[in-house]
Amino acid sequence: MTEINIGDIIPFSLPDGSGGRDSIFALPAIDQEEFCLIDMAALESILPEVEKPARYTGGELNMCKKATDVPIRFLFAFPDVYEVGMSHLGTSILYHMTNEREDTYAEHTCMPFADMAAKMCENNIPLYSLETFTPAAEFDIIGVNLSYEMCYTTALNMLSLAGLSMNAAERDGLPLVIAGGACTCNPEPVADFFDLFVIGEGEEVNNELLDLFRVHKQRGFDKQAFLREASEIEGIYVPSLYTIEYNHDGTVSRIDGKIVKRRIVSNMDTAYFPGKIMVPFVRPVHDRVTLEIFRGCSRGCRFCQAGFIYRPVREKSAETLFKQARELTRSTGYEEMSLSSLSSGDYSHIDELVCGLVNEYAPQRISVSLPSLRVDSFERDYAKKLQGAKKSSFTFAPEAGTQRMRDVINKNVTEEQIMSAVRSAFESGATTIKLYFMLGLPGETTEDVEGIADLVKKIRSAFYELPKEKRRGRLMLHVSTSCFVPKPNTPFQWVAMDTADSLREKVHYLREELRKLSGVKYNWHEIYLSILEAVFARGDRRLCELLRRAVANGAIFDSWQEYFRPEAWENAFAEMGLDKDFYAFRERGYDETLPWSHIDSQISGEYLMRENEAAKRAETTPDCREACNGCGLEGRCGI
Amino acid sequence: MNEIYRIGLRFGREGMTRFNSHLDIHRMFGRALRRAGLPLVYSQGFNPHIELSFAQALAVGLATKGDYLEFALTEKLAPQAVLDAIEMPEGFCVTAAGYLDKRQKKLMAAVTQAVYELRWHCADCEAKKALDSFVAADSFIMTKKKQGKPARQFDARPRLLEVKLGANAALVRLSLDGESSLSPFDLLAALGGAGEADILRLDLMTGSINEPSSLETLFMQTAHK
Repeated sequence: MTEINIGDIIPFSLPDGSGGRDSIFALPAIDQEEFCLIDMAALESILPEVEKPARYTGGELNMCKKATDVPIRFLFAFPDVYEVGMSHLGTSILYHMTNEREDTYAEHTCMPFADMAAKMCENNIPLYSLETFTPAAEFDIIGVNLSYEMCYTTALNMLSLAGLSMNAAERDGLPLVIAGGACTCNPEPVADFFDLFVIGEGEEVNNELLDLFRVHKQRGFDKQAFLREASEIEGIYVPSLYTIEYNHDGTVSRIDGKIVKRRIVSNMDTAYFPGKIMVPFVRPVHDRVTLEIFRGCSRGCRFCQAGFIYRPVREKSAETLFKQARELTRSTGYEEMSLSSLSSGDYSHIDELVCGLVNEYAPQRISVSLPSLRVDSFERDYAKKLQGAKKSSFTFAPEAGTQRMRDVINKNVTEEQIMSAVRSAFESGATTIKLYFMLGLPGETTEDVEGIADLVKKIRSAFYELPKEKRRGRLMLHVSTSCFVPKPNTPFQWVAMDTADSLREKVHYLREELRKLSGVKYNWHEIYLSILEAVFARGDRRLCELLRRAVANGAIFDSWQEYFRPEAWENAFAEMGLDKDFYAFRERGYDETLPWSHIDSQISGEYLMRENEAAKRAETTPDCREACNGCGLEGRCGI
Repeated sequence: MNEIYRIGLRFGREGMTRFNSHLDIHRMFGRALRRAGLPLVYSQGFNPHIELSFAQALAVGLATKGDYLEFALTEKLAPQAVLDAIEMPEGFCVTAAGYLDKRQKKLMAAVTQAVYELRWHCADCEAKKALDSFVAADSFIMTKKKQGKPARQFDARPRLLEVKLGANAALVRLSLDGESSLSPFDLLAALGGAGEADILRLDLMTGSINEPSSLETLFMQTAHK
């Protein structure tokens, strides 16, 4: 055994003082005491006890550091876990854009997972910002992104963790709690909770809102006066200024208030796009440079909300994209870049762009990926350039199993196209293929569900038809089905969702059919969750109470399987005597006042009706690039 | 095959960055080196990556001013130029760079010990007193639980190689040699004082128990920040 020689070998001296240590590197460290308002000692004592504590410590590369004595302090609060929030492109754009303003310091935070949230409550630590560890309630404005209906309970829990009342009417003065994102095309189910909504794209309207806010704050903030004036800005919806009346049958009879028009950025080359983005330590869902190549989609798939609410198609020039790619790869050091849009193969200069990027970045070992590629663009040159020899896994989304069903939803893809894409994937050495389908599409018949199983079988056979020496391993087909949820601002906004029993039967059928096939794995989306999504997607203001009750019953992180509590929801429905059928399973007439009638997506209602009627006849509508279909944005679209 | 040059970095971290996991730091360094625009050696294959190798994994919660990693360059740049080109997120600092001899075994294999500073949160905490009796004892049996494995008992006393005791802090040199390693967190917990001290890794050491030297002594043409 070695003797202890106190003080001989260790060439280090003991520190003189105790307690707080200066920067060990003598770097100009931030003086946290100056503005740090949460109990840092308590925070540091709980961090070692939670999973992935670096979710809660900020300090990401390219995080904005600023003086805190600016006129406006803004907090981007994402209602999901850090890994999801940090992958959200919209928030990233707006965070950096807001920080370009000298008068505003924008910070960020996400919803802590259950283990952390519980410890924070025990230790009286409220929701705080990751830049300066300032309590959320100290901010002037909290901005919440609502990109998915099932984040609503998480958003409300986040307000509670911030120590704020959920109800906008009960919050006096600041902070203002505002929301934006895809769900704001029907903000009614969350109308009670937010002071205002930003409808549409934020690149311009956010700055207009902050300009107005600054004036109001300087003159002594009066919330009502501010909201009234803010509602004059195009794209700003202040729900408290509206009265909704209902008919005896529960449908909306009258919406008293002006129409709010969705904001649309007209030029994507001049629209703000950050030259640097935060690089999180904890691996986010999308751990790469995301380069948005265009907004909108010309395909017109009738089930797809994004395909309508982000119209019109507006492309960035290849020149802009090359420049943005250069800035972002340099400022982040990322090893992967993904081109993002709703259907990247449709970009006008896709060959030039992909080949240019691959040639420029291959020497730097930066890979380029195109996540949303349709089967019909699979065999083009650029697709082959991307695939190289390394890709062993492909994802295809036929969405439906029969041609009739694909025509109903206007997917505009034929079985031959699917099969030829799959065959060339197998020939290139792929062994894993993911297939996405939807169940419960309008007018779906037994034949259409059987068609899914048949298509899977055909795809499976295509692999075994390949000569043995060409197959590079064992086939793995991952088949996933989701439940179709009718969404506002789509041609299917009037249709009834398929019932739970019917969906369960279809899942059961596919499970039995696909179970027999070796190398095929079948996953299906939780049916109850889809029904809730359907309730909120087309719901009205009366659902705010349902949300309050669900949250009181413990609902949070609904889209996380391990946290989803159907009983919290079932009890909330029962307490209110509320009818799910009314919201989810009821077909609406064209003459019904839809709850979101005052939110103008700028997509023409007549166009949506025409599309719904065409769907009933299983007639397809061509891509806007072939012929204009008169969606209401003619003349403002980049095609 | 072109010549490659092995280079080592000494780095530290402090503040909230100590809650980042080892994997997070691995990715972070890879990206910092890419941003620095260095002529890096990449692995072969379809997914080329920088072959970064750390002397030791950094436990979540541990601050350090003496950790090391190595990688390789295709050109022999001045270590000072390498040091100057690397920009780290706040809270991290690369403090030295130097070349490693071709025949030098990996830093990972060279490490034998580590020196830590334990700075007590209060003058008369339990762990501080317990450390006195630990030093005086002939043996000190600790129980180590690893996930999915049965608890294992071992004598921790021989793994504590050296101690300096001060009023507010202690310096400890602990064995870091595969199976006979002792974590300062486990030590503190065994002394009954988990969370009673700030732990800072001062340096990683190579060499024998009686003649240890800093891992940095393996660097050649060392440049400092």
